[in-house]
Amino acid sequence: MKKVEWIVLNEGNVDEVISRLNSEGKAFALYALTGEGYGNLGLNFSDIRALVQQQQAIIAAYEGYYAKAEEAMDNAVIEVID
Amino acid sequence: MGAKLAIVMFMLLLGAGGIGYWYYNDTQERLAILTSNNAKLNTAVELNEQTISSLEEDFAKASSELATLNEQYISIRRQNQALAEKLERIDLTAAAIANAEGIERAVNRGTLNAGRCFELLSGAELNEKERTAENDIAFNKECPWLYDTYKSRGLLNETTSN
Repeated sequence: MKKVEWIVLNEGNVDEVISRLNSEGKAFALYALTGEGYGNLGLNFSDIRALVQQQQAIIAAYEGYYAKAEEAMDNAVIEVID
Repeated sequence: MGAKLAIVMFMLLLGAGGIGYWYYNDTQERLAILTSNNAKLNTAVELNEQTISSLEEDFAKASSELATLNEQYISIRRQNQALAEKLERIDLTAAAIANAEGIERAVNRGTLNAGRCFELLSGAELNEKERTAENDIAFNKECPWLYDTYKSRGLLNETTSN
């Protein structure tokens, strides 16, 4: 995934952040989130990750079920032929 | 008179013989048909028994997969709840005021780890640090449960992992 860099800014470190950005050749223009907003963003990502895991679990379950069902069907056919 | 009676008797015997022959042939044909039908019925019964047995096996397998899926769902929900519980304990605003630098490092590391979790869930190969991780936290703090998954698949370096 592409790198995302967070800058934590408060009243006390504004000047420090500005000079840091200047030294890196970047302008002082930030897209900001409050502490609550950042927490919610984290929770949203966690929900998406959970959804991905659930979908993977469903796919694995279907895969397992169909593999076993096919095997059972093959065995039944062999027994009938015999 | 005797000759006539003999002829009549002969004719009667011939008729009875003909009827007997016809009856024998007809019975044999019926027996063959019934034997054939019986064989077909036996095959049908066997097939039905196999189908029932196969359906029962199928149902058992579906139930087993569903049980596994439910367990995984519970586990996933618990993992998802972990972050919410962590965030309830931490006041991010207060932490950002108290230690901006430390929080900045933590959120950047957390974001990197969370992104790596997505990569791993999407099938990315393990890197050296992950392969040789000594425990789940060293593997990835944001999705430590994946450590056990990879370990059970034998994809971790057993010489250095716990």
